[in-house]
Amino acid sequence: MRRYSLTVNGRQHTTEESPDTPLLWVLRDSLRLNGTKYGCGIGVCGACTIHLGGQATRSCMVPISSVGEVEVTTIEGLSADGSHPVQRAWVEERVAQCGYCQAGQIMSAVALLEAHPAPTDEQIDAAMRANLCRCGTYARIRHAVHQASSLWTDD
Amino acid sequence: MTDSARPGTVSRRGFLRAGAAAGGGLLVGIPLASARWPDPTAGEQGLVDGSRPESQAIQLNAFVEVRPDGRVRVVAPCPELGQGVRTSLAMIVAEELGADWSVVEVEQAPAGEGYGSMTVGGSNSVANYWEPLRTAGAVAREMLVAAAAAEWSVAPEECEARSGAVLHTASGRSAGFGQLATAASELPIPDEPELKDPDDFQIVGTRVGPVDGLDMVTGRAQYGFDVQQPGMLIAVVERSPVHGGRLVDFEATEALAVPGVRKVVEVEPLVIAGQLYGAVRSGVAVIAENTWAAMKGRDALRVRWDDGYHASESSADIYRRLRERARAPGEFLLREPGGSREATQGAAELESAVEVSAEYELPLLAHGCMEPINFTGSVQEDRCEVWGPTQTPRFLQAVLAAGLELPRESVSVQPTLSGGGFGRRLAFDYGIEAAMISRSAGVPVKVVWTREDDMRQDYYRTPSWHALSATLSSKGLPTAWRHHVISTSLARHSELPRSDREPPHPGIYDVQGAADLPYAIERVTVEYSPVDVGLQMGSWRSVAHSFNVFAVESFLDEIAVRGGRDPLELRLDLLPGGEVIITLPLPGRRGRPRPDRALLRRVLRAAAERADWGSPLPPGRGRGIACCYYKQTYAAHVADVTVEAGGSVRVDRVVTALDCGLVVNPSGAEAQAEGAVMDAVATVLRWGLTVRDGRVQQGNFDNYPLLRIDEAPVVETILLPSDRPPSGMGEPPYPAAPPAIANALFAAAGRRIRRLPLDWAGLG
Repeated sequence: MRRYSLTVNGRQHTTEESPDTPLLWVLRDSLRLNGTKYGCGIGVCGACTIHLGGQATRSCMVPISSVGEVEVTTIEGLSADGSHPVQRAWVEERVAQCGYCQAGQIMSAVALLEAHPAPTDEQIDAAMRANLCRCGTYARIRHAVHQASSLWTDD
Repeated sequence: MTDSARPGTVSRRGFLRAGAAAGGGLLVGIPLASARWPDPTAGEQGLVDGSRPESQAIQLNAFVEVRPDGRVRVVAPCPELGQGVRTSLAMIVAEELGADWSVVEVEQAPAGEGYGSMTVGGSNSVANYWEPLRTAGAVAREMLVAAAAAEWSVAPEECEARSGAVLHTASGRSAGFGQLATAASELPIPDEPELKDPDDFQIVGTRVGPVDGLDMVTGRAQYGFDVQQPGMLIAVVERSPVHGGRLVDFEATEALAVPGVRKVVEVEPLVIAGQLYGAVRSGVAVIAENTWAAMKGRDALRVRWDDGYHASESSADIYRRLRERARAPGEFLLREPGGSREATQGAAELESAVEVSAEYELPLLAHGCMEPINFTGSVQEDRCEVWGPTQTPRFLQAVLAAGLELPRESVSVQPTLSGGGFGRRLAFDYGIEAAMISRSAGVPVKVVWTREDDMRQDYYRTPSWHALSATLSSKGLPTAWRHHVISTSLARHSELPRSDREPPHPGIYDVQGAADLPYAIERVTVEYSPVDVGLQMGSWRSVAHSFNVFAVESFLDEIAVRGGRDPLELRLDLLPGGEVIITLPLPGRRGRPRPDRALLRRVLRAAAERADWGSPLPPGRGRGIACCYYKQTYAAHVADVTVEAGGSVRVDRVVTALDCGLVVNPSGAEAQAEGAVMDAVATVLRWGLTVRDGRVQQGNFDNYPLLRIDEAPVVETILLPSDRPPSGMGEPPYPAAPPAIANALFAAAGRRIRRLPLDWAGLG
């Protein structure tokens, strides 16, 4: 067990972990930030997507020992009241069915829109294809990304 | 709400209850499972031996609370799996109440008899609760109106409830529900409240987002994985890799050496009425302070298993047994000529008959819910509490009460949000397992399943084999139809402990969508043969419709091709008239399906028209059609596909027309159709499990891949207007979508898809 200090959503946290503990479980079990979800544990479903230094990253594949000083942002860090343009678009477009994958979808969408403020459908497909949804909300996700793009531009 | 603030008064005829909440305000309860609203599932699934019903007194469960501050609380009896039921049920109450939707809060009911069946399965929730919840809302509305009328000394008929207030238009007076709630709670309860005319609906019929939508996008939504209890530890279980296998012994020294691991315990079996209840796999639980330690501890376990009888099971053997069974006559005759003979052809035409036959093979499927199975349990000597995602809170409660020998009121089951269900959470092995581990460990325990556990210890969709043959008249119409369904028999494999007077018909679930064939064909024979397979089987979105409708609608397409008929016109020709009653040797509604052919024709025509059926397509593209009914919901799909020169396949567009009665939430209904079409694409192209040495080989989404956003077709959903009561939407949009896609692939590439998934068989 080792002591780690990390910055999550702008706040400093100190936690004792085994060095190989995936960031996902540190966030969920130690920091009680439960918005980040476990889906596959092998980096193929995207439910655990967070931002690591601004990059959309699978937190199940990142051992705590490798995080260092890099800033971590989770779904809770976008806004607590749902006012982030991507969160607003997701609500307006009524995207969620079971909702379990949506935190990861939203984190991928935010990273996409930060890089491409007005993405094409092809850019959306390329950025979002690593996030799986078993409920089949893809068409609404695509609409919501476009909607978020205009909300973000208006803000 | 149920303990501290019970409705106090009973209406004159005893149907309804209302009273004051603890802090003032109005509560209205509907005693379900009562004479007026009997539990529709009672007797259908057969509760377990040894489970005692709750006390004879009707449970006082409030469905609506109007608080003094004007907020409205609605209790949702059915768990949310993503089907939108918390939203649609609350809309029904809010509509009749005349509530302001923006102040409606939804609370999830704990398991309890007064809430009715509570089971989420068979697309029943909205259909079952439609009338009781409307009544609850209407009672509250009438009491609020009466309170306002009394205060203003006017006739109640002159007042109306709208957007959270009672208005008296003549005098321009109005009062918010909150101001009226406490006074209303002291008034007599109307026994027969007047329900609204659907033409006056303001909430029902509008597009409403999920009530948990904001929580879902901010990370606050509480799923089973997010349950926290004081002193709770995390357990990960090493289970027998083979169904029916038993633990021989285990060595836990290294597991216990993993930092954070606290205990290692064998999972105790549940015994009900002296019999071992086999739903929970033999296993060893590693209990730790956090999830990662529990996972690593499990990896460090050394376990020896006695694999039991099923260790030689393999896919090749399974399909060989199914195929060989198809060569012999069926074991059970479900439908035979003469039962409901309909003269459609003259005898002379039969002389020039053409015989058509084909066999279809459909694979074993996992559920792959995004949230893997998990449950939290806390068992003490005189009390059992469990929390988590489940489709059957009351069955779980009954089984736990029986197995732990506790009165049912000492067993609390609190459903959480569920990251998908699709039928997996109709089984309740996970809930029992959590309770048994907590009991052994003496602490509250959250049992989490890894993705691999979830996929390899599923209650699977059965593999099936279908032998079909038909005789065609010279006009190309089928005059005789024979369908032999071979599958594993859900009735035999679902492992529900039963108290049944007699065992269910082995085909009761597995022939649905085959024996109830709606088409007007003179001689219909449907047979069923169960074949044993050493795996647990369960319900999977639409259950047997998920395989039977594929075989039926694909074969009908083959008949159309052989008879030189347009597939749409053939179906329309085989669907004359209106409602027909089919008599089958099965109990209850399954013995008397009543398809309305006029409604099937309507969805077929609507889908065909929107999809521009009959218009020419460029080479490499194809269009297919299929339809089905599921209980009283009717669905038709037209799929457009492209087959590239290299054989790669793309589903471009699927038009879905649905008649599910009155639509409560069009956004939710469309979402179900969109999701069902994605499932259809995935099942045609990709999903299938293989078995070797009794073990399911796929374990994660790398080799059981879900559809991705760039593979998603355009989905257009048409919800046909209807005056019929709501009839269910979770499953009905699925069954006919895969054959529509497969029929389109035939149209595009000239290859008939008789084996799924395409990833295994290819287009040749």
